[in-house]
Amino acid sequence: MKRIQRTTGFGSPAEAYAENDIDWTSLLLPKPHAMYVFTINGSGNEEYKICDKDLAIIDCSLIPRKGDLIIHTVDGEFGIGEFVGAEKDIVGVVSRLVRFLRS
Amino acid sequence: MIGLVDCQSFYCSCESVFRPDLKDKPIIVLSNNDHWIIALNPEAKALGLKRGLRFKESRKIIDNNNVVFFSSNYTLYNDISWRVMENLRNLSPQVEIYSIDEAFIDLFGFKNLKVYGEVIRKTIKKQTRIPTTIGIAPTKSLAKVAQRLAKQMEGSLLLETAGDISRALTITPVKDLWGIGSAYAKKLELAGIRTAADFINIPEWVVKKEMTSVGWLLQRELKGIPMAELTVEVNPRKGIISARQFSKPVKDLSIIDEAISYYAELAVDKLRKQACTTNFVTVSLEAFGRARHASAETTATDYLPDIISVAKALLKKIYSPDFEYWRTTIFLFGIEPVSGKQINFFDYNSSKKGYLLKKVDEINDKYGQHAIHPCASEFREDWGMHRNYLSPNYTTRIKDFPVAQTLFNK
Repeated sequence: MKRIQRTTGFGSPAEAYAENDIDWTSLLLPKPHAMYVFTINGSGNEEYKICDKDLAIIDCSLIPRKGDLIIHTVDGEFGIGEFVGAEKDIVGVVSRLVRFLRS
Repeated sequence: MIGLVDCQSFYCSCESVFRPDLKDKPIIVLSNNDHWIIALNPEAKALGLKRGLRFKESRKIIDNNNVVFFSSNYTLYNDISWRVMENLRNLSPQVEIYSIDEAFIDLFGFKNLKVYGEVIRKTIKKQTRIPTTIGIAPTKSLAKVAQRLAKQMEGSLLLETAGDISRALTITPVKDLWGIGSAYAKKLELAGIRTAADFINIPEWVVKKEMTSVGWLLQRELKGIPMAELTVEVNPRKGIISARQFSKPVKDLSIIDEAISYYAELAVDKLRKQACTTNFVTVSLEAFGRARHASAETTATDYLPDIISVAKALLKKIYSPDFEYWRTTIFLFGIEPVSGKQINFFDYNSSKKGYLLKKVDEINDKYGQHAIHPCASEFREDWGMHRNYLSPNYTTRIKDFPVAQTLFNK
């Protein structure tokens, strides 16, 4: 969609230069077929840069490297943590982290 | 070579993607209004549960064995199906979506297919968490034979050499071949033809005479000769697809509208020939370098005007005037037999609809298909379905995103 406003007087000289809205979806989800989004629950992992209610966007096509944040399953639940190499069932590597600071 | 990719217990697998606590547990999925079982995983099958059993009557087995049950969440299944198919499109130059959980893929010119089959399975498992089985063979019918055997081993199977193929055909009962209905299967078995290997040994003229051209096409395919015209019997529980490739790129929404209406008509025609209703409509619109799709739920319906108005509303959502489109497709998923259709008390029009449809059919029978067909109508959402055990829409609603706990690695 382009942001074009109707004018009653003179036509806008900027109209021809209007560009499409920024496609936030493809910025956040560049590989929609391989990405899932999780909501983070619980604080206490701030040293790993994760906060309560953050949205973690994971890319399942990436191979985790040491120090990556990953989502994995632990005792029948999903957990977020730093990859150390011993995790068994890795769901994906966190490739985007969305934080809502205030509204 | 052609591959047939099939998702294992697809609805149940979708339900367990975001429920790691359900690993290895028996899972069933219920029909609309939670009436009967429409899908089960192997763990649930092992308890004696079956497709088509009434939920209420199976309650004892379900409760005694802690079987996990869900209402059908077609929103979730559709999204995950799209992910699987999109991955396939990255792995093969041509993908023909056969149903919500099956697709043929073109593997012409690919080398080392035994390994590639496993690459496909691993990629899909990793990127979508859905397990698949794959059959690869020179024709579609043989790919299906291979996929059936692959399913038994929960893996992939390549039928490449004449030896592989004839061995596979000897262990494939004739009743499990694609396109052989139960009537033909009985007839063949009475004649002593039990396996696919027996079937390909019948002289061609006999097959043509006794089983029309469908049998003949199937036989040629099983001999390894690809028949492009091959149409396989549609499994009524799977989806229906109707697509149009425009003769030249189209920009105008009204033309695309017309095309989707016509193709909806064809799809609904197929639907009603199977005496089925649909619960989920997806429309896709493809331009060069841009493909978009949108979906909506419908109450179990076979009513064309409703399906067309849903399709048009979906089209409006994904249409952008900046592109030139070359193909539009309508998919009907969540196919259920009409006998299973529940009366929707909010849908006061249904008796009228039945009468109208009957009249339309009468006129079309008399004056030819599509002699009379619906004009545009307003989009209207029909609700009133019972889905008491519905899972969250994990991938399509922000408030339903799966939750990950912190406090690990401590």
